[in-house]
Amino acid sequence: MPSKRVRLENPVVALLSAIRVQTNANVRAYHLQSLLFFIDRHWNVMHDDSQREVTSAILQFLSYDDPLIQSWSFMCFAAIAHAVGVDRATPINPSTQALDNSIWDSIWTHAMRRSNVPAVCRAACHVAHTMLHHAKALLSPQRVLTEIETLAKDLDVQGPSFPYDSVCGFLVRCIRVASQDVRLYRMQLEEKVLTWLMDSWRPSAIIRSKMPLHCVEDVLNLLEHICGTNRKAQLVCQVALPDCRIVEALTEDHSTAIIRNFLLHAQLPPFRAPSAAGKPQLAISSPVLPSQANAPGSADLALPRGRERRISGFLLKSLEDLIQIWETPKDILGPMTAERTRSSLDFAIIALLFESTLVLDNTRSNRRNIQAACKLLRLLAPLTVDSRWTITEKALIVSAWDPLILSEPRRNGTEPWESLLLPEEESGIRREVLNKFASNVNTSIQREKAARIELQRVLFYSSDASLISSS
Amino acid sequence: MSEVMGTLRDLLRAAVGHVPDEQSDPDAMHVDDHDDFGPSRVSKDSGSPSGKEQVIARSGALRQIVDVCVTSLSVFPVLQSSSGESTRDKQLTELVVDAEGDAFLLLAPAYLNNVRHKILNVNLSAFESLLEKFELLLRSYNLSRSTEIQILTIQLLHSTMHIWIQEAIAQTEIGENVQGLCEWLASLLSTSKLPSWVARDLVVRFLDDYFPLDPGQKAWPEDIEADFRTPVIILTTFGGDQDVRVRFRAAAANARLLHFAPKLGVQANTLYHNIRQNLSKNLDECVFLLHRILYILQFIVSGMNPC
Repeated sequence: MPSKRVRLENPVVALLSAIRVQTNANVRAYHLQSLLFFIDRHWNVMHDDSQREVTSAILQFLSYDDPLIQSWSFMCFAAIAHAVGVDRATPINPSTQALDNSIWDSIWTHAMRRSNVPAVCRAACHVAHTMLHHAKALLSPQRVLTEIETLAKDLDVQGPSFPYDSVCGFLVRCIRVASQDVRLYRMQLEEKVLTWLMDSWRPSAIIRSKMPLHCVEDVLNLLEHICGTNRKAQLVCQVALPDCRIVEALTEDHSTAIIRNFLLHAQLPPFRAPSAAGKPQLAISSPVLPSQANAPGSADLALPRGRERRISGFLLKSLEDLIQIWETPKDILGPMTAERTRSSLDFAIIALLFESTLVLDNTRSNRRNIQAACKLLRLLAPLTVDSRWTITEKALIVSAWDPLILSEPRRNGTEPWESLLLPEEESGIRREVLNKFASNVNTSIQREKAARIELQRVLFYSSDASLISSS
Repeated sequence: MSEVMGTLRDLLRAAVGHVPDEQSDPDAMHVDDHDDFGPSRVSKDSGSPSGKEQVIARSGALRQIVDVCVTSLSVFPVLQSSSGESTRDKQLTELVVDAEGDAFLLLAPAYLNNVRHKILNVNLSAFESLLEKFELLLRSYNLSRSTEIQILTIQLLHSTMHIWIQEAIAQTEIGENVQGLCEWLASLLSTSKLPSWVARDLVVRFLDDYFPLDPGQKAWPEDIEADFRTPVIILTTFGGDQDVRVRFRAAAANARLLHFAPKLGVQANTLYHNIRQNLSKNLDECVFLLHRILYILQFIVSGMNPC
């Protein structure tokens, strides 16, 4: 007798209705997170109808009153925007447009309006940032400019509540967009961003128990864009993954994905030159040494202009505040936490890196800043060995040095597997095509590393000679 | 600012000092008195939650601390110097050579990694001490079968390649010691005594990096006995390895090897034949078959035409 087949329920639909039906905000947020992971991995595989359904559901959620739901809805849209943007950027077979372009414009507007609401601004800026990244595919240029103009007008008075990671990234993009439009350029967005930054970022008023939601690279990148410096080395700031079996399993899973894709799905990754990362190299002794002409204080360096001076002044003031805090006896200080120690270390390193960036940009750096930052480092360094910390806390504090020592991201898991080798001349491919293959990826990785090392060198060179003694 | 390097050293010493206290763990397996390398554990602190999670939690954080400290101590002097030459750090080397048990297992990988990237300089006497230490470890029956020690030994060979490949070194006693290690490795492989895929994967990577530096294979021990194999043969056998991850790695390495054939002094035809022999012909074993396809793709792409 034929058995009854169980009807399969569409899990996505089930998820969406679970979100609608639930009244508890945390449970709803949890379901939204599941939806987010699903979108992140499989959006382009979904049917048009499903895509439309999900999109309209999330649009509804956006209008709910709860900031938690709004934030996660924004995150979902960011994932969709990214998937669609990447898909439309591939020249081969972009999928048909399931979603109307007008939807993006309206989400963009919505996000921009919410970018200064404290509870939601981090997520709103994240989705705005993602959309700007894919602006060509998603947004109409006029809308982009209009909204950035609106943002710029009020930024110094009413902006995002804190320079979160996504906020920094978003403002960097806005500055780039503004620099290419005459009207926006005249508004001097950089000045407004700077004023906002000095107002919303209080490095000395550090939260005791949580790390600030940005890293050294985020803030440094923003400072550089405010000053319009030329060099853009992206430093490595990694958040340590939690230590547990699941993370280990997922990391190995990720490393071996290339093998699984070949064996199970007959797929090989798109062709690119094998990464030079992991192969030993002499990059550390790169020929790019700070020449004498670049020595800080050298007469050949230009004087810092208005914005650089404002930033240096702001950094100095905060450094001095922090020095005072860390110098006073511990009972006035209050409970000293690892997070506080680490975030103060981060700030000193930001200050040093900023001054080094100036030098690389042929501008004189501020001697007092460098000395103050070094003094703060001197005060904090002995604390890393303090016996009160647990191992995890020590790991948190000591990782502050990462941006200064890493020239490439630390690898979790096994060294990546190569799929196919680079084709050679004998393979019969035309030379012009061959050259194109070989050049791009490899040299950009090398250039990134060289830029990082250059910045790190300048930092050590410019800092007080007694920064590191050969003990 | 002199405190920074000093602090890092102190932190490093404290971190490795944290390591094993076998007696405190009631669940400890019975550990041979002579064996420092009990199951890899980290000592418990008072007031910390139960055993296993804490052990796991600590080891990742500990490794990170060690990595940051060792890398900082290696990188800072390079960045500071105007010549950019690699760091000579006697204290650090001594710390590694003198470390025992789990402390050594913790320190050695970070140390060797920096040596491999030529950030840390290992002079000949330091290299000699390291070699002696490894020989000591490998003589113990327990340890020579310990996966971690096997992996570390391969890492040692891999990371110090640029030293022992030099002709001048190969002739000395150091060179002989290194050849001893190579022979040990070759014999383990031929008798299938390297059960860990990670170790075999590392051997493939090691050989892959070795050939461009020493195409004549002069630094490798000569093929004296019948069951020893040359590094070329060893690499070709990985095509038939049990583990798919090793085979995948070997596919690219073997294709590169074929490319090198003229420099290695072997006939491309013969080499191709050897590689093919190791690939499974069993039509039932789908996975192995897919590997043949991968190899063929590699050869096409790299334009090899052995015929």
